[in-house]
Amino acid sequence: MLRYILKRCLYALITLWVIATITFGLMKILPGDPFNDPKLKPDVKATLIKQYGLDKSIPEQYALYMKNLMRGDLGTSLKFPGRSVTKMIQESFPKSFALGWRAMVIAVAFGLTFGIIAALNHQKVFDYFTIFIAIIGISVPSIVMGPILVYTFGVNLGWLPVTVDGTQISYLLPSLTLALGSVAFISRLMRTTTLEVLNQDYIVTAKSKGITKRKIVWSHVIRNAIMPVVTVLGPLFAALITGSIVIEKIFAVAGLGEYFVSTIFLKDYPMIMGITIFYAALIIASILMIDIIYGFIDPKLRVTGRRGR
Amino acid sequence: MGSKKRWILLLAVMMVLNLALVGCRGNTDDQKIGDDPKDGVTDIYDGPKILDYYSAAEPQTLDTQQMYGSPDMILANMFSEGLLRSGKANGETVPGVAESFKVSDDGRVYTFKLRSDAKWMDGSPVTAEDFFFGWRLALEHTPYSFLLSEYIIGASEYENYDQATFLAEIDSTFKNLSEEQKDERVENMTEEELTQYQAKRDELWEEVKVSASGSEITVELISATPYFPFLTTMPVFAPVKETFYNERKAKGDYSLEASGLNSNGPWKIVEWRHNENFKLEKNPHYWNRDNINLDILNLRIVNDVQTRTNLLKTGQLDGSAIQAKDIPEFTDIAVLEEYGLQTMVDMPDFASFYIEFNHVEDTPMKNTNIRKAIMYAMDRESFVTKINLGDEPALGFVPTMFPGYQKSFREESGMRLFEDNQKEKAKEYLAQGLKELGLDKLPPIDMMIGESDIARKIAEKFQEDWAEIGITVNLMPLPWSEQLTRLQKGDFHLASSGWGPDYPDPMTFLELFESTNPNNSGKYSNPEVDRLIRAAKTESNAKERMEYMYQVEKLLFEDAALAPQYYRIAHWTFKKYLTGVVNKGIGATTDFYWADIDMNAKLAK
Repeated sequence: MLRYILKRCLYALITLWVIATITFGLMKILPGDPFNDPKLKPDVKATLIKQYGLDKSIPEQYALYMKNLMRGDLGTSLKFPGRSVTKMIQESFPKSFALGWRAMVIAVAFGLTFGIIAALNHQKVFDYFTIFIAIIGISVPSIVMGPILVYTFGVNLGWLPVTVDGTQISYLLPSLTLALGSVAFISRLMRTTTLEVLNQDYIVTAKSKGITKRKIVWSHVIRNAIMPVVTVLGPLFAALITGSIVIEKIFAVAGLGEYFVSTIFLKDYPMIMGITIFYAALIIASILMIDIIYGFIDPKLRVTGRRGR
Repeated sequence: MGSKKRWILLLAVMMVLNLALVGCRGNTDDQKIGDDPKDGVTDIYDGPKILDYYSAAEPQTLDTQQMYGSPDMILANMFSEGLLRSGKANGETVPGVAESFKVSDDGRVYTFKLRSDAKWMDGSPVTAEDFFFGWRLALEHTPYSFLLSEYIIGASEYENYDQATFLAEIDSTFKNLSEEQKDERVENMTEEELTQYQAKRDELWEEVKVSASGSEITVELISATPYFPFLTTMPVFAPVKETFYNERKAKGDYSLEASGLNSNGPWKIVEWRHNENFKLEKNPHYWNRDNINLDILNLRIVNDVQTRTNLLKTGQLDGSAIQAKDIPEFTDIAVLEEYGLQTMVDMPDFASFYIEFNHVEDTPMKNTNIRKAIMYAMDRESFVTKINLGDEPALGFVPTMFPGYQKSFREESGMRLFEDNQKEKAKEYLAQGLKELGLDKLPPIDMMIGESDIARKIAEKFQEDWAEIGITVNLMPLPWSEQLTRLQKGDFHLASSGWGPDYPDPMTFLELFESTNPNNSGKYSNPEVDRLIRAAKTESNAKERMEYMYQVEKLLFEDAALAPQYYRIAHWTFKKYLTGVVNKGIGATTDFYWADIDMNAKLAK
């Protein structure tokens, strides 16, 4: 297992390097430069370009960047002069994370519950209810759902805070908004896989052996049906905890989400690179985690004793 | 029976979750004061006066010498103070660190008398040296360094003397090197060379005509500049205490964290959580502290306009800027009453929006009559009643209410330099233009616009106007940086542009059409305009130079050098218990210097 993990870590590093290189290339293809502001006089612009080494050739810039990266230095932001990229990510990530894990809990709890119950009540009222929720969750974007929730529960009824102000209760609306799409996604997936498992021979066998329905559902259906869901949870988790620009804007959360978009528009090169590498590392790590968890929960893996890939 | 149990299970899961998410209420760190409102109204509150407001964005920088964004300047106005402060009216000044100033008869020499009780937040006095140190920092090609270098004698020479200039002086082979070799040479200067270079810089600084004697600072300008006093209110002119600067630079947090900010203004920043909030407290050493009413300013950083409106409505902000689409709502008296708000304040933010023409050869835009057709066809009046609510139709270039000689520039030079929505006239110009170009029909024209919904809506309105007289304009939405690249290359027909002022003088707008201006993207060139701009820039008589500028603007419209769209108007509303907030179009657009809060009313809400 340890060797397997080490090997995976090595792959992860190579993947990161490839991602960093491709991002660097793409970023330099973008037209314009970070100081493309008509308010900056030519001499000011020239000074800035020189100061950040952007007058050097691209291979030189690349070499320098990689050298610094190796030492763990992500550089300083161009939009916010002097501010360290590492620090900016460090400051904003916890805020996205605070929202993200709550959304994840909601998504998993409701997604799985809805999915299982819907499958067990196949083509009955609750099944349709789940499908209805799923369709809403998938088709109503957070840019619509967020303001509706804020307006209803925040401004009109005055029950909940309209922004995240650090109190626990203030996380409810944004994490709900953030989770909605994932609730829909997970419940649909869970419903499909549960239905599939329910039709398997071993379930029929179990039934014929006279095992109680509850036991069948708990120890056979869910355990098998949950596997494909677990696979998607890793990247989903990474996506949720890195924040959403829309939700962070609506709820005034000082998170990471905004940087994904704004840094590209502003051509804040070090920030683009920092965010990309950070996000890539998160995804890779979460996939690795899921792989390890898989080893524990997948009955097939244990029976056959298959190890990794 | 089994299904009943499952339902119970589901309900249980939901309840547990709700508890987990909702349960931990209380235990909050919000800073509500007077948390004991028994009956609110009858209690007399005499604690600190607390303002709850916002910053529209995380400031790009709080280094006073480096800043040029609006949120940055609003904050600078709170924690920092220059020789003078920006007053209640646009372009007006009130005493700051300088208690008074006088100007020589020829308008070139300003003498500022520093007050003895001006102090930094640690109680040490603000001295002339602090100003000079700040100005030297500014003269390192910072965004607004031109506000010093273009005005003060010797400042530009000082700013432009860099390592390369120095090396060229001491080493005759230097100028023959390639650009890369030069850079390398500069990077590898010896200790001795660096010392010499620094000595040379110091020498040049001596040549900059700023000096101190006793408690007076004298600044000698290249030519008379009636708006120079206002320039000294801008952050780029702010004092910087050298010891503080060096100490925090060494620690690596100068201007980057609350601990790296020194204050000589009415408030000091005691907390700065990036992207989240600021907390400012009254500076106990501020000279005018007795007249500063607000003790604590809590500023949340809220990027989204709608979110600000929500916070205003739920009582978490004491005021807010109002976006155009909410204007009808906030002009409704019932709504204002419901939320305890004052009537909206309308104040131009002095951004002037216009259509830029490419005046370079090979486009029909080179023809004056075609440009006039485009300019006259636009119906701005219906534009501001239907699309951009609350804005003002632009029938000139310099925005409405922008300061002129004694009144506003527009009042002096004319509110309308041409008539709006003249479709018939436009058609005549078009016919005339086509004849001159030898064309039957104008080929479709492209117009560069921004990518936002609003940009598109605005452009579509004018597109209809032009279609009405037979001009086909295709809209080309492009990202901002791509637009700028094309503007710089001159690769466009029409561009929807806007400009906000850098200093309170119409020149900040008019010089855009000087043929040598780097932002004259359409390369409009009229020798007479150039001559008048030069004349205005060197004229010492304030009235005369304004006259030159009236003429420049009129010439621009005789030529249809641009087609104005609208002047942007910003709108604010404040709670009834918050009084004395000053809104301006330039510099710190919201100023709480004279503001006061009736805390009893605030807490009674």
